[in-house]
Amino acid sequence: MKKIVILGHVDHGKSTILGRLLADTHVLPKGKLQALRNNCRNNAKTFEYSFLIDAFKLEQDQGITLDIARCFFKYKNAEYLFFDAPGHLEFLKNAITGAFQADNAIVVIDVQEGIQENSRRHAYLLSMMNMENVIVVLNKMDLANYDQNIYEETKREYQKFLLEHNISGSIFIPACGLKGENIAKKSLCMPWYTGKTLLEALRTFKLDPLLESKPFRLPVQDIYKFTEKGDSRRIIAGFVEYGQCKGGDKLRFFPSNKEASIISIEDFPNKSDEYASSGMSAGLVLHPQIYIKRGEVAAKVDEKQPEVASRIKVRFFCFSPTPLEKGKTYVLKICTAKVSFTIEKICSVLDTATFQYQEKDCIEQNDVAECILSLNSPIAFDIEKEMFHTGRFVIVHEFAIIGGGVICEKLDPSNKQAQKESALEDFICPLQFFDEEKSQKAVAFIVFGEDPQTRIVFAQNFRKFLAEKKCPTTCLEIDCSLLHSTKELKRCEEAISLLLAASTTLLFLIKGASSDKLMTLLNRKNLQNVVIDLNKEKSLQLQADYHIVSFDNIPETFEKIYSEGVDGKFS
Amino acid sequence: MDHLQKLESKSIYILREAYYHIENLGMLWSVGKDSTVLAYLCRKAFFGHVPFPLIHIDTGFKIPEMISFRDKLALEWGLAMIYGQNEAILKEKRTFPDKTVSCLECCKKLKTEALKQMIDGTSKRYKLNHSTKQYDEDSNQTPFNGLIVGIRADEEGSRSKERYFSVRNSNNSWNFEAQLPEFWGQFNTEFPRASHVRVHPLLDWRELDIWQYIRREQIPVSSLYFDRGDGKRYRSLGCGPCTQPICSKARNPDEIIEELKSGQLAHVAERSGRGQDKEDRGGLETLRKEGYM
Repeated sequence: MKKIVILGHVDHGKSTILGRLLADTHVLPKGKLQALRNNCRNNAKTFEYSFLIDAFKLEQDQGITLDIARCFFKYKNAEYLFFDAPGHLEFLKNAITGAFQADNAIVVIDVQEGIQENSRRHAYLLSMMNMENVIVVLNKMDLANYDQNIYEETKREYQKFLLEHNISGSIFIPACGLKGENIAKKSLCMPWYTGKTLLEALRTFKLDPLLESKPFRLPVQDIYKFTEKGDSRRIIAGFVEYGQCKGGDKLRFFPSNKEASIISIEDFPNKSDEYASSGMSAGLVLHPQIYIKRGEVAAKVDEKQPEVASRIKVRFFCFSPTPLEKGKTYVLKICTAKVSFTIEKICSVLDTATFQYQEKDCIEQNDVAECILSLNSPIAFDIEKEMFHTGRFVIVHEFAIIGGGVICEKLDPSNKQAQKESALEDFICPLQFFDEEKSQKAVAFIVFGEDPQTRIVFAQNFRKFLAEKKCPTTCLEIDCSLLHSTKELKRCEEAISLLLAASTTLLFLIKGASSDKLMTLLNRKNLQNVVIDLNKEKSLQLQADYHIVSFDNIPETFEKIYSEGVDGKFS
Repeated sequence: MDHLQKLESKSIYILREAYYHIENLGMLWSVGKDSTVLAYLCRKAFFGHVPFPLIHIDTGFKIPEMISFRDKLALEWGLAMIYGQNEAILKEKRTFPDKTVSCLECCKKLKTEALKQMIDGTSKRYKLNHSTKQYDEDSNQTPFNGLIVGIRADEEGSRSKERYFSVRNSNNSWNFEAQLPEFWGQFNTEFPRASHVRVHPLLDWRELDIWQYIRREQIPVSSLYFDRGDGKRYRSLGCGPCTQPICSKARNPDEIIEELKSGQLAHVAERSGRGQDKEDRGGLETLRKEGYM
């Protein structure tokens, strides 16, 4: 079955062409056409062929396609599945859903209106997914008096655009969907056109490319051990994207680099198949039993291996209603792997309305961006165009897929230290044993003071005092001037969490001025803050609980802070 | 790979995605041919096990053979089988067969509402006890947050616009205008707490594919689909009072495939025997927006 998406600008006649194709090849259920005509008459509406496709009441009422509609079509032993995608800009995400499921595409252009925003944008989508063969229907030729010059002019302009985006094998057809000219039958109004009708052109679409001859790739989808009825198999389940494998083959999993051999390929109800090849949802039993997780990619040890990286250059289409920003965290899904990332650098942004490259510090809806992504953990992938399935990804944010694209380049880690740090973040995780309903809270004494010596002297004496009160204290110095990025804040937050898990009295010495970021970090449910200002001149911004200028009467001062801060408020 | 293998493989991939991502998952089994194929695909996806319950919404008006077929197969395949129904409405006799409400209203109460209560865990669930072969009241009322449903895109217009993973809001209603994109085998598997997701692994299958697969894999289906001597058979199964058989002499999957291929039925809609599709210019669409399968 050939999967075809119909794209184009709004009102250029996509649904009409598809409706006409169905009507003229007599594949519609008996009476459907007549019923719809009657319905239109009863509702004082002009019948349109697009109504055959626009199933929803709302869509018929508004006369536009809102969502992709699937439509099966069989003609002379060839089977087609059409995705009719909406041409409205606001439904671009639906057009993408249609386009990204298809293997072939038809682009419809109204010759009267000429090439419009979505004519270009949709074609760009196709080029991103390496679609090389496209049928371009230049529709509404009746409104152009079937003029060959108008056709040739539009064709020349659009072909140039397609070639610029590596779409080379296109067929152009002058047509009129409304009257069925060059859809299923040759038009008599355009004798100058000697090429194929749309129906004939459909036959030129190729079937799925051969994926079996490529290096083996099986992204691990899940690991099953169903022990019911004495089943002891531990099965690695996954969809074979490329190549094939058989019992005895030695596999390596990426990024973990673990190796194991295939003992058997499982199936049901039959015991086992001899091999698993591209396109199959397979199940493998391995030896030895290795610990691997969903998201790893299996390859054969003697074939080309996938790339592994945690820093990549990508190109992607954004359809998020809120702009994507540098430094914020998003989620990337590639095959079965899922990893969070931040945008390290926005290299270029293409506005798909004007097709101009822009310098921007955020990525907006309908932009195509080239970026460097910094991933939280490494992923396995392929870069070759021929192995597109293991190189394409989607971006997820707040429960929705908001973008899709391809990995263009594997990059070295930005610096080793950063890599080590991100590894640290992953394996240190303080457990929160604090019972939030408990009245006993931890106390943090937050000490500000410009002079480092003063801070240290204060801390030494205060710790000694607290120790005598059987209040062991942990001390941490935080340099506020370095507290900028999400990463630093996160590290600081983790450090505080660790200290909180270890002790109920904390002493923070703050270098630099106070900031909102710092106070947000320290503002926790289970933490009572006591702010102490050691500066000579009282800082108004701080609103400190205590302002200490002289250390003369320090034991009394300590006692006061202690009784109010520890005993007074919290015992 | 042939066409059926491709369909099978993609459906299995979707089933495995659903099982991986959804905590309280169940599968709706209408006992019709499509969802019976789906139950078979589940066994295939999980290598002979079905690791979630099969749910039947019993309207109380199902053709009796459907119920006996359901229980026979559930026992044979070792399925975790539960059923539920809108007991209040049946008791009050506010149904179409009781001639007190319209067909559409009846569907809404006995299917849409019964389903909603089943999902929420607000109605009684009855679970098949494999040793006594009887149904016991199920103590587990945990709400489902995912449902696998055997709808196909070619059945009817509104179903042609469904996604493989279709998120429902807390009222179970379907906002098709705000559907999320899904492509490249990536589905919207994370969703806000107050809703559930419908999973549609059979979306790409057509009626002919279903029958060819039934034949190839020798999947048992209800005998109602076959002519048993009176020159009639059901093409689509539903409630007795609202479902009509078609004229056909096909007695087995082979003959049904022949019949479908010959084009005799090409101009008759598959669900033409189903009452609820005909009301209100798109009755099924209205029902589906409110949570119907």
